[in-house]
Parts: sequence; structure tokens; C-alpha cells
Amino acid sequence: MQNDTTRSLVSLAIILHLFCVFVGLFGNQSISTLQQRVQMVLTPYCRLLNLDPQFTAGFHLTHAMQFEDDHQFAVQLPGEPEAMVLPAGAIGPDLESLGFRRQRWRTLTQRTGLLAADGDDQAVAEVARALGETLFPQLDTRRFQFQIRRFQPPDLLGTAEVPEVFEESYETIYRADVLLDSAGKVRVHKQVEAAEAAQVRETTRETGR
Amino acid sequence: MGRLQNYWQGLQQHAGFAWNEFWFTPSSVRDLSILRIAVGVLALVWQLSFTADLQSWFGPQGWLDSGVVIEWNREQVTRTFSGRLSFLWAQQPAVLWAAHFAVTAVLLSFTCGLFTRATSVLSFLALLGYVHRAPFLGGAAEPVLTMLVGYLCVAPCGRYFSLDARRLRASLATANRLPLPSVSATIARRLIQVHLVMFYLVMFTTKLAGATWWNGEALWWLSVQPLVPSPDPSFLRSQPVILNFLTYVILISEFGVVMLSGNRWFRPLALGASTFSWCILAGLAGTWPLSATMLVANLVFWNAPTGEPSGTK
Repeated sequence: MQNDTTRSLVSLAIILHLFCVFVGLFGNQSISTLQQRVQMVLTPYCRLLNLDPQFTAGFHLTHAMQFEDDHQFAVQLPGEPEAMVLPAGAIGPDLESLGFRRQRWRTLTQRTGLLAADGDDQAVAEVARALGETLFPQLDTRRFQFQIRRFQPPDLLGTAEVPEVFEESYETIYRADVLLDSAGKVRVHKQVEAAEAAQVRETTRETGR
Repeated sequence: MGRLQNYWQGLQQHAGFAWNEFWFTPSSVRDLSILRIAVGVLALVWQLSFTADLQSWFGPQGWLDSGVVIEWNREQVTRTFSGRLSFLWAQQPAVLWAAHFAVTAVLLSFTCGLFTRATSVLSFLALLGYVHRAPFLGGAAEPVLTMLVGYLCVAPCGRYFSLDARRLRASLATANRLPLPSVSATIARRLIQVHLVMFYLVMFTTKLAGATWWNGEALWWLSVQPLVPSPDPSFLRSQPVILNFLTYVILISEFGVVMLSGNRWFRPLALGASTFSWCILAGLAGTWPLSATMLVANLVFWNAPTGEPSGTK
């Protein structure tokens, strides 16, 4: 590349590209107003080339936050004692667990759990709805309960025993009834704790009050 | 005033010379050809790992449908162009299978070095198609993998250890020429190196934002998760000092790559520590995908022994 003009143009392209890389990578941490504005301009380029790992909050691996613990989806069918865990047969520590697929499921369940914990019911309900549309044609029922469960790990220096059976250490953080209505449409009704439900005044039929 | 002018002139000359030497010194493609094979194998494993979930996620009855993706990308759909393009949208199962295995064939050709110029670009576009179909499935490994394939498009990385090389060998022999060092190889190698160092910098700085990497407990929280095929948690818990030590080794090794990978004497030490820490993370914390991707990416810092001048110092 002896031509000075070509070299200058390539240099300019390199500088602009690396600037986009920098903004894309570092714009996902604590972000200033300036960064936000620059990022908005560069977003199409950064996202198109996957320079902006928008959903990737995983470079730090862990900060011991609850949403970083392992999660799982469970489908509880009416009358069945055991819930069906998703992905079926791929959750255990087997050969599959060494691969990208397990990591993908782990990421999906963790992020859905985070949305549920943040109260983003609409995004979680979309997952439950889509799961219902996939599962109902394969099931004999018109109703199941969708659950998101979160693992509760013991502290390193705590006194609690390390559980031998990890499945018992899951806490259910989200429950929703998924229903197939008479029109063939899937509906999702989130279950809430009694304290969270809208409170109604006690009434009696006699007085109407 | 004259001294200031001289200073600026000297600085410009020095910076310009260093810049040109760094980015535009022709270098061998041999090490990038080795990297192409490693990256190609990794990309194949990554792409084939979608096979089991392809229809249940992306098929016409798949549950990662447009409703889920739009709801999870609420901020993006307000834009004219979100930057997300994919060929894996609700298609007939047969078409989806055909597209999936066509990508496998492209990645295989790229790995073997068949029509490398074309297949490297196609491989890059194909990987982006999977990433953009459901970006919330991606972890930390995906941006590194697409970065590697993307920059290999710039270099003639099919010049060695490839089917292209076998085809070209006859014509080169008749012309009595050796493959020449390439400027585009240097540019590709440098882009990978700089981008990789930025990844390490992000990994290091984001870790410092949390207490677990300061108090040495991070490796415990990673290894105790039930989906991780790691040693007995009770045994690990009885060795808190070792867990603390290994946590700090991981942290320091990332800082080491950022600071020392540009120095020819310290680079082997930094890369050795990095290799050790990625193996520890894979073994104890189950981060096999990310560890494998980073170990492959680290190859860009190793100079392949060759008779041609190398791009790294």
C-alpha cells in the first residue's frame, strides 16, 4: 500500500471503526449523556456488525447478584405431581452442558428471570404466551402453569450446608397461568401474592356495603 | 515559539512513522491461516449447537417468535433501522433446515480454505444472521467470535493450509515465486489484537465494579451454580484461600494481557497466565464456550515460525 492517499483513507477508516468499537463496548457500563448521544448515532453500524454487545452483561462473569444465579423454566401441568423443566433433558451436568447450547439456555432463563424480578410483566408474558403456542398443540390440556425458578446458592463462608440435591434449592420467582381460550388464543394470567393483589372492601349481601 | 513548532513537527513525524509501521508493514499470512482453521472449527461448533433448538425456537411454531423478539427489543423498534438483520425469520421448516445446513457448508469451506475470500465474507454474514435473530440469547463469546471472523475477511487467510493453496501452488511454482507478505494481513492482525485488548479491558474493568472480585469470592459464586459441571462444592468450600487466590489470578491475567501483550518479552508470560486462567474458569466455572473462544482469539498474539517477516514485534 504505497499510495499515500489510499493509506490515509484506510487510516481514517481504521480510526473511525475503532472509535465505534470503543463506544459499543464501553457504552454498556455506566454511561454519560455524551456517550449516550454518540452511541445513538453509531448504533446501526455497531449493532449490524455486533460491535455493541447490547444484551451481553456477562463480561464480568459474576457480581454475585441474584439474577446471575442459574434459573430454569418449569411447566406444571394440572394433576401432574412433577413439573416439566425446560429444556427437557439438557439441563443436567452432561456433555451438552459443556457447550454453547447450554450457555444459551442459561442466558435466556437468567434474562427472563431478571425481567420478572424487575416487574416487566409484558416481556415475560410474551415468553409464556409463545411457549403456550408451541406446547398446546402437543398437550392434552388447555391450561398449564408457567414458572421461573431461581437457584439459591450457599455463601462461601456461611454456616449453611451445601445442599446435596441442588433441585431443592430453587425458589419460584414467577408464576403465570397459561390458558388456551375457546377462540384458540393463548392468554397469560400472572399469579401474584395475596398482599400484592388489589384490595377490595368487605361487603355483605344484606346491606350492599 | 520555534521550539514548540519543532516539537509538534517532531511529534507528527514520530506518530506518523509509528502508525505506518504498526498498521502497514507487510507481514506473513501463515499465522492468520492457522487462526482461520481454529476460528472456523469454533464457528462450526457454535452454529451446529443451534441444530437441536432450531425448529422449536426459530421455526413457524417456534416460541422465540416476532412477539417475543419485538417485546425484548422495545427500544430498537422505534428506530428506522435497528441494525438487526437475519435470514432465520419464520420460514417453512424445510427452508429453515436448508438455510441452516447451507451455513454449515459455508463454514466448513471457510475452515478448509475453499474459496476463502468469498466464504469468509459469507461466514461472517451468516454468523451475524444467527446473532441478530435473537440477540438476547448471546453471551460474551458471540461478540468475540463474530469479531474474529469479521477481521479474517480482510486478510488473504486462505493462502496457507487450505484447499485454495493447493490449487494455487502449481501456478506459483510455474511462476517461480513465493507468496509475498501482505499489508492486509497486518491490518487484519492488528485489528484483531486491538479489539481483543479492548475486550480484555472491558472484562477487567467490569469485574472491578463488583465486590466479589475484590474479596476473592467470584470463583465460588460461579462454581456453585447447579448447571456447572464443576468439582464437589463442599470440597471447594473447604479451600477458601485457594478459591481467593485463583480469583485474583484471573483478574491479574486479564490486566496482564491489556498491559503486556504489546511487549515481545512479557507477551508469553501474559498469554501463559491468560491460558491458565481460562482453563481454570472452564474447569471450575463451566465457562467452556467463552474460554474456548478467548483461547482461540489469543492465538493472534503468537507468531508462527516462518521465513517471512512477521507483523508483530
